[in-house]
Parts: sequence; structure tokens; C-alpha cells
Amino acid sequence: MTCRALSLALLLASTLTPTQVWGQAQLLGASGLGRRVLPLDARARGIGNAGVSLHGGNLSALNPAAAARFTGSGIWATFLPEARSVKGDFASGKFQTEDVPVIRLVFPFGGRWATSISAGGYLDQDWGVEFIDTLSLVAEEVPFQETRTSDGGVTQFRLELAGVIAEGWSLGGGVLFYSGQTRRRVQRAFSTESAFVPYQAFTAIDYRGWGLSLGVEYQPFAEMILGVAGTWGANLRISNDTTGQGTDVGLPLTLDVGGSWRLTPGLLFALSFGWEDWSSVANDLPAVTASDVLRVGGGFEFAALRRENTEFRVRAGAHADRQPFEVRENAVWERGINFGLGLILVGGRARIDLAFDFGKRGSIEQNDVEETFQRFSFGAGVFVR
Amino acid sequence: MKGQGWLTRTSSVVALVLLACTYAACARDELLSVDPEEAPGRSAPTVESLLGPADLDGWIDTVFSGFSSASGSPFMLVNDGSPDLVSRALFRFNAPILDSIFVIDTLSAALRYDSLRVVVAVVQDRSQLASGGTTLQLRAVGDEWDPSSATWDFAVDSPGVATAWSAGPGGSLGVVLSEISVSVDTLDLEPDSLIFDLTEFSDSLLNLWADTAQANTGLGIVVADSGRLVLGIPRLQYNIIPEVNPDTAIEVACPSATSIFFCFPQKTYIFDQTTPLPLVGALRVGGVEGWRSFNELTIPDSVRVIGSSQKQVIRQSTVSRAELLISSLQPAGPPLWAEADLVGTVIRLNDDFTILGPKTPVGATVVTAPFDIEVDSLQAGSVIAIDITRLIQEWAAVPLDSAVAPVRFLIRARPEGTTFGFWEFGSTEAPPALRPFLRVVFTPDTEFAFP
Repeated sequence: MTCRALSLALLLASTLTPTQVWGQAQLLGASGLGRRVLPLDARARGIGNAGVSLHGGNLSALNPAAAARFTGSGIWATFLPEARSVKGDFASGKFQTEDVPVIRLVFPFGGRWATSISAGGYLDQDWGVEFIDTLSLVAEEVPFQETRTSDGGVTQFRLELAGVIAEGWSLGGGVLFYSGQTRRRVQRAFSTESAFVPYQAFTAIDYRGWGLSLGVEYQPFAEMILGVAGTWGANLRISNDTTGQGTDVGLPLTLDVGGSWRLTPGLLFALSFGWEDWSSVANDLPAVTASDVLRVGGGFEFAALRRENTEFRVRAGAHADRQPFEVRENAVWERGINFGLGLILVGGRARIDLAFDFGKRGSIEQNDVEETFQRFSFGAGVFVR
Repeated sequence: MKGQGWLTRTSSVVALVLLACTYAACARDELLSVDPEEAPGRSAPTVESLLGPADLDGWIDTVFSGFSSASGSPFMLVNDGSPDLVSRALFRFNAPILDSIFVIDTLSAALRYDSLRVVVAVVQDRSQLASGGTTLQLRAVGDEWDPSSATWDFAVDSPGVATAWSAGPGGSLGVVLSEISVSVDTLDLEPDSLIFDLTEFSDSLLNLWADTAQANTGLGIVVADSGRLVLGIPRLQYNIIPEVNPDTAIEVACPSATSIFFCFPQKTYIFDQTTPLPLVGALRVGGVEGWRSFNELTIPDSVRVIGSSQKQVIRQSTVSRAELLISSLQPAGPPLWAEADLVGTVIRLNDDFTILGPKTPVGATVVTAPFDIEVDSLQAGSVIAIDITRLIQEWAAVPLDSAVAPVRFLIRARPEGTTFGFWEFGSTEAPPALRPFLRVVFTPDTEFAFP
């Protein structure tokens, strides 16, 4: 059973990772290494992206120590479609993207320990643009339409071990593998009157790297859990599979701090902060300017309805993130308001979580472009008690 | 165990739902509209290169002829007077002359023939009549002649066999069988039917032609005074009077769309001009002899492009358009210059014509859209662009580390032999303003950068 579930998870991980999901991403995410995707599940999305430490089973993959709190094996996944509307001095339009931020399996053993395998998006480089221009030749002007697309990105795989090391203390750590491919394509179609043969070019860029994760959770009393988690990454190897050329980019150090406090038996408050050292990454990317990622998010979860084996939860929160790669040499901020619903079934053996958050990224004043977004999160999981 | 089985089943359902959602989402694939200067990513610019003979590693061109003849032309030219050309049409009907015919299911021999006439279409826009009209004579030909090789001087001029006309150059024309006068008004009234009436020779001529023991020397059409007429394929018409029903006249035509007998006249035209070879600096296409221009272009891997001092690698690039730009030479005037528009085409050469000459094997036609040579609008220096995109694409597609053969092709009229005259354009040895150019619009491979 365990092997079969693991095989299924690996199948899912290889099939549903963001590098395999088609769609186009924000223009803002076209700079640098793309758009940062956090391994948050739909429940954390509903509480303002606060996913470092949570009561009641933390399904996000931010803190490896959180796995120690699972008493039964489980598998879950989150799907993240997003609608975006871009406006700016140089770009406009509406489009949609899809991501799979986290698929995760947890296997507790020995009463105090648990292993966790997860996969999810890390850097999303799905985007596509089109424009019309004119080719000026000696004897004629030839209008053309050009499309540039990028599909794929970097996926993060995490193999982690967590355990309860003392009363109220959990420790977790693991190995991170980064892998992915971006397929870039250029197509230039000339006006039909010209009878010019269209142009197209294609390449694939591969990504490989590894890192380490470490996390701690401390529960000073039953109603509160605090957590700290961090990752360190070695170089991310970027290579062009057509030319063989490559370069190395140092992955950033990351630190997340957060916790949750059960204010009443039916009301939970969660808060988290995060920092990622992307400004140092810019040293390896001379054509890119980057900022350290800063994020803060928090919210509430309320158990609105309880039955014998069923519980219905309502969530609300807000978040603010500074994105890693700048536009117009100015940092890009994302600010949003989050809402969520949760349904715990069969006494906790199954759960379905939905989240909706909306907000804005960038600003016309700072970045010459901004986008509004409406993001849905859909998560489902099953557990063995 | 019960719980574990439930997990497995539910896991499968969850996986399928997630997969379905993922693939459903794949259908959405919108693009953002951006300003060209602000578009993320990069792409190589499309550039234009204009290459003369000196810009290539080699450019060889020459002409060959003999790919068509007067007998293969779809017309016959009769001409005398101005311009300085005498041309006569020769034809004969070797197909079966019917000497019996079914009448009311009974096979009957021909009692006699009647109403013999030769009908010839006239191509009006290519004909020029004398101001007072032009007289055409239909005359008997005295010698046996070979349609595919007859010339002004020889009735037969095939390899190993050369038989001069017995009456001297010009076709050994005999008695005048019929004569008609053609005027501009006549042509306007009856645009495509000059009818030579041979009624009085019906029996004698048709019995002569039906007698396979006799040589069929056929007929000739000549201009008795002056003028030029371009004639179509001659048509023979006559009546058969059957023995079983002498009151019935059955009309027979050759060729005929309705006859069950295959009937097609053999025809040619002979003329007193010998086409001169092109001058240095001239290439030639078309004409009664089927002139073709042979070209070999040795293109360097990198070429200079317009607007840049840097050379660009053209090999392995995407060639969006490649044209051969050729400049018309000063028209030589009639009768040598093409008297009607031509349609040109490009054909791939599969071998080295500098060694194999006119018998160099050819490949398929390489352009789908033929180019027009409109002689009335061509002046010296008029440029015609010939699409050779596919040829250059195939050349550019050869990997850089592989040897690549020069681009070889010929230019010809399609079909050949549709005009008596030809069209000339500048070769690589022409004055600089009239030399050919190769224009290529191409895009090098994009060097995708790392972020």
C-alpha cells in the first residue's frame, strides 16, 4: 500500500508540476527567473498565505517540521488557476495561468517521526506576448506579427524527515531538488501579401539544482504553535539544451517565521513572515535587477459548522509579497485579500479546501505596468488514521 | 487494511480529478499585447541582403538553346516584308482521309469528295497587316519534308540526313490552290476563321492524300505581298458523297472533336533568319529555339546585410524570401524580340552545367507562381524579380559543418516556343546597372539568452 501510494504521488508529481502545465503567466513574471511560486495549500491560501505553522494539519510544504504532527499517512494536492488583467504603458490584456503549487505525501512512523515527499512549483516561467511591427526593407514595408512564448519553469522536489524531539518541539529537515525546463519559442508571421515565409525559433532551457531545508516548530501551550523554517540552495545550473551553453545561479537563502493561535475552540489566528535573499541572485544575472523577497500574511479560520464526522470552516486573511525580480528597476509588490472554505469529511480522513484571493501586482507609477488578479485554490486530500 | 484500500481508491479519484482539471486548463492560451520595444524575451531581427556577382564566391551564367522548334510551337508564323523576315507555314494531313463511311448502318465507299477547305485561326493581337491588307496564298508543296527538322534551306535536316529543298531555299512551293485577302476589317469581322476554299481540288487532293503509296507533301501558306500573321493549327473540312446515297453530303473535319478517327495535322513554319548568339553581357529566354538561361550561385556562409557593417550568417537561417533580380536589356525590336508576353519559370539543375552543358539533368520546377515577362512594359533596366526562395532555403538548410553545392537553376519560358522572338536580360558580364542581383530576406537563428 505504501509503495503504491508513493508511486501514485510520484506519477502526480511528474505529471502536474508547473513545468508541464500550459498557460501564460504575468508579464511581470517574464523577467529574471520568473515568478516565485510558494508551496502553499488551499487552506493556507485562505488564511492570508500563512502556512509556516498551523493547527489541525499543515498541508503546505514551507516548514519540514510540520510533518511531525501527522498521525496518519496522507496524500493531497492543490491546483491554482489564476485570472489576470494587465494594463500598462507597454502591455495590456487578460489571460489565465495554472499552477500546481504542492503535491505532498506524508508517512508517519514510529509514533514520533514522519517522512514527507512533496513536489510543487518553485519558479514559473509561463508567459506569452504578441505584437505587431513592420519590417522596413529597401523597397517595401512588410507588416508582421510576432509571438514570443515561454512555457515551463522550475519545480521543487522535497524529501524530508520530521520528528518530535522533545515535549512541544518538532524538528524537520530534508533535501531539495530543483528540476525543470523552459521551452521558449518565437514565431514571426509576415503579412500574407508579402508571401514571406514565416520565421520561428525554439529552444529549451534546463534547470538543475539542489538545496537543504530545516524547520522547527514549538508549541508552548496547546493553543499556540510557532515555527521557523529556512532553506539553503546550492547553485542552480541553467543550460541551453540546443547550444549546450550554461551558467550557474546561486539559489537564495530563505527564512520563514510564523505561527497560529487558537483563540477559541472554533477560531484560529495565523500569521507568517518570509524573507528570501534574491538580491544576491542578481549578481549571477547581470541583465536582471532583483529585490529580496519579503512577505507577510495572516488571517483567521473559523469552524462554522461541526457534525459528528464533518466540519465546515470559513477563512479570511490578507497578504503582501515583494516579488523577487524587478520591473523598471523597481520592486514589484503583490497585495491581496484572501478568503477560503474548508470541508473536513469522514472524521478527518478526507478534506477539501477552496480559497479565493484577489489583489494587485505592481503599479503603473513604479513599474509602468500593473495587473489585477483573481486566484482560486482548490485542494483535496485523503488520510489514513 | 480497510482504511488503506479506501485511501487507494480515493487517491485515484483525486488524481484523475486533478489531471482532468489540468488538461482542461490547457485549452486556455492567451497572449498579452505588448509594444514591440517592450516585449520580453528576444528574437533575431529579420534582415535583407542584396548581393551582386562580386559579393558571392562565384556566379556563373550562360545560355543554351534548342529546347523547342517551330514544329512544336502552338502557332505558325507567316511573314513577308517588314520586319526583315520571310516566314512560311507548312502543314499536311497524314491522318486517314475517309474513303468510306457508314450511311444508315451500311458501309459505303465515297462516290466523290466535295467542298474541300482549309480553315485557319488568326491570333489577331500578334498579327500585323499591311495598310492595304495582306494577301495569303495556299500553295502545294513540291517536296517531301520532315515537320520536326524542316528549315528554310532544308526539307529534312535531322542528324545524318540533310535534304535541301529541290527548288532552293524557301519550301519548294508549287501552284497556288487558293488565295484570300485579309484586311483589318476582315479580321475584325471574322476573328478566327480564314477559309481557303479548295472545292475544285476536293477530289484530286483528297484522293491523293488518301493514297498511301504517294508522298503527302502537304500545303503551304505564304504572304504574297507583305504583312505578318500568327496562325493557329489548320483544320481540314470536306464533304463525302457516299455511293449508297449520292444525295447526301456528310461533312468531315480534321481535327475534329467529334470524329472517332484520330486526326491531327503535322505543321511547322520555316523562316529565312538565323538567330544570332547573344552578345556578351546578355542572357536570353524564350524564342522559337527555346533559349534558356543557366545560373550557378556560390553563396558564402556569411553575407553583408543592408544597414549593418557586420556580416550575418545566412546558412542555417530562415529564408523568408529570395529573389533573383534581373534587368531587361534594350529590346532588339522585331522580329528577334519577343512579339508577345512570356511566362517564365525556374527549374532546378541537378548537376554542373559548366561540364554537361545543355543536357544537364533538371529537377522539379521550384516556383509555384511563374513570373510574367510583359514585353510591352519592358524597357532597358526594367527589373523582374524571380522567386527562388525554395532554392535558397534548401541551400541554407545544409548544416554549417557539411559541404554544400552551389545553387544551380535555369530560367525558361513556360511553355517554350510560344513566341518567335526572345527576351534578353543582363548577365554577370553586363554593365553594372544591368547585372543580376540576389536579394535575400532572412532571419538568423535566435540566440536565446539566459535570464
